[in-house]
Amino acid sequence: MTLPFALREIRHRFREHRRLGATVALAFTVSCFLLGTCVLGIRAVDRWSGILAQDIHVIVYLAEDMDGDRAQSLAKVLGRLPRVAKVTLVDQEEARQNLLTSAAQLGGAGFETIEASIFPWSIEVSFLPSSDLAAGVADLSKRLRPVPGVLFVDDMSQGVGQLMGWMRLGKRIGIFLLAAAGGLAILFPLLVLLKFRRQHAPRAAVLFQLGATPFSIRYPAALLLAAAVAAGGGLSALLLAFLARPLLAGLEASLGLSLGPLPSLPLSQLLLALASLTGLGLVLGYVLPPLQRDHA
Amino acid sequence: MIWLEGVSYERGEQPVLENVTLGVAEGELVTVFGPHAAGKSTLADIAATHLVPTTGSVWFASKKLSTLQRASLPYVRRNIGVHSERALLLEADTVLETILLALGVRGEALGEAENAALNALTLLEIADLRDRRIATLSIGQRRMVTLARAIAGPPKLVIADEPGMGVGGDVRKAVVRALNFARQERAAVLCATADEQLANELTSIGGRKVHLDHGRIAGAAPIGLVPTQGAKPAPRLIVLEVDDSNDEPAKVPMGKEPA
Repeated sequence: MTLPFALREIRHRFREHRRLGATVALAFTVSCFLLGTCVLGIRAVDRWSGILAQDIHVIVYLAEDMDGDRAQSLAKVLGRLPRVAKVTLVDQEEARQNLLTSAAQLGGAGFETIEASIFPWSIEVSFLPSSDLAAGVADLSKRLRPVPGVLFVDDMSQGVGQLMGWMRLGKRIGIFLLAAAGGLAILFPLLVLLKFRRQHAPRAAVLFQLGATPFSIRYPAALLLAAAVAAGGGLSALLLAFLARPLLAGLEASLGLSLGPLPSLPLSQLLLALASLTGLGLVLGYVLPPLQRDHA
Repeated sequence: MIWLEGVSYERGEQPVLENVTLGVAEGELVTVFGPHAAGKSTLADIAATHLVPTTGSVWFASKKLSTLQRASLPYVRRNIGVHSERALLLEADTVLETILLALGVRGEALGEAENAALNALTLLEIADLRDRRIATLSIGQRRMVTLARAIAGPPKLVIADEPGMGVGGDVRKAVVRALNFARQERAAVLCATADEQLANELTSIGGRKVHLDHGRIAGAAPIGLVPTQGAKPAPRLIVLEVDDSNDEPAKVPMGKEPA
C-alpha cells in the first residue's frame, strides 16, 4: 500500500470509528482518573498520619527524688530507643513557664505566684511516623511505668489509639477503593476493547480477502487505539491536576491540616506513564482485530 | 497466468472436483460452464486461493502455491480480483471506497486507482452509485460492485463466479463488456457460470469455453498453457482429451500440441 493510500486508510478509519475511539478514550480517562485519585488519596492519608504523629508524644513525669542528672540519663536512654524521634527534658522552671504561657493564652491569671518547685521534672518523647505508632506508644509507656523515679506516664493512649484506628480505616477504605478502581480500570476498557475488536472484524476479513498483509490489516486499528488510549491518559492527568488534587487539598484544609499542596507526579514519570499507555494501545490495537486463518 | 493441474477437491467424503486440469493465460478469457453443483464455485475458490485442493497443484505466475510460505499468500491474493457470492463488502464504505480499498491493497497510486475505479464503474454502468454506501444497495447492485472491484485495474487474474446470476440483458452486456475489458488489459479472466447465454456471449468475443459437470471437465477442449519453471516461462498450449462417456477422470497427455 502506498503512503497516500496508507494515510487515507488511517484517516478513514479514524473517521469511521470516531465514536468508538471516543469511547475508548473515555474508558481510559475514567479508569486512569479513578486509579490516580485513589493513589493521591492514599498518599494524602500517609501525609496526614506523618503530620499527626508529630503531635503525639509521651510525657514521663518524674518523682521528686529524681534529680537532674538521673533525669538526663533517663532521657538519653529514651533517645536511643527505636521509633523515638525526639526527647525533650523539661525542668521545673520550664514547666512553670509552659503553664504561664498556656494560662495567658486561655485568659487565665493568678498563676504567677506559683513556685517552680511544685512542678515535677518531665521528659517529652515524640515518635517517628509509623503505621503501628499507637502500639509503640502503649508499649513504651508500659515499660516506663515500673521504672524507679517515674511518677506517671501520660501516653495519650486513648486519643492516639482512636486516631490511628481512624487512619487505618481510612487507608483500608483507600486500598479497597483502589482495588475497585483497578477492577473498573480493567473491566471498562476491556468491554470497550471487545466492541472495538467486533467492529474491526469485518474490515479485517475484507482486507484478508483482498490480499492485505496482517500488518496492513492491523496498523490502522493499532494507531487508532494508541491515539485513543493516549488521549484518555492525557485527559485523566489533566483531571487529576485540576480536579482531584484541589479537592483533596480542600479536604485537608477543612480538616485543619495545612500541609501545603500534594506532591504531584514528576513530568518525567507522567510522560513515561503516557508513553506506556500509548504503547499498550498500540499493542492491543495490533493484536485485537481478528485475522482469518489462511487455508492455503 | 494460472494453472490448475490434476486438481481434486473433496468436501467431507464427497468429491466436488476430480482431477481437473485447466490453465488461463495472460489476456485469455476462459468460461467454465456447467450446471449448478458442477463444482464451478469450488474451482473458482481454489483459483482464488481461498481453498486448497485435496490433491493436485495450483500455479500462479509460474509459482506453485503449495510451495509458498503462508506469509507470501497475501501477495498472490492481491493480484486476483474475485467476484463471487462469498466476496465480502463493508456496509459502511461507499462504492468508490470499496474499489479503492482493493486497489490500495494492490499498491496502486491513489490518482490512478481513482481513475481505474471510475472506469470499472462506468463499464458496468453503475458510476452513479459511486458515493452510495454499500448498506443502501440492492443485492444486484452489490454484485455489480464486487465485479467492478474485481476488474478494476485490472489485476493479473480476474475470477468471476456467476457474474450473470439474476441479471437481465442490458446488465449481462455490461458484464461481458467488463470481462472483455479485463482481458484486453492483459488480465487472465476465469468466469464460472451456469448461464449458457452468458457463456456463449463470452465465447463470441473470443473466450474459450470449458464444460464442467460433476466435478470433471467434459469433452475435448484446450485446457491452457503449461507453466514452465524459470525466470521466463515459455508456455505451450496443450489439449485435454477425455472419452465421451465421462466415467473416467480426465487424462492429460502433457505436451501435445493443439489441434
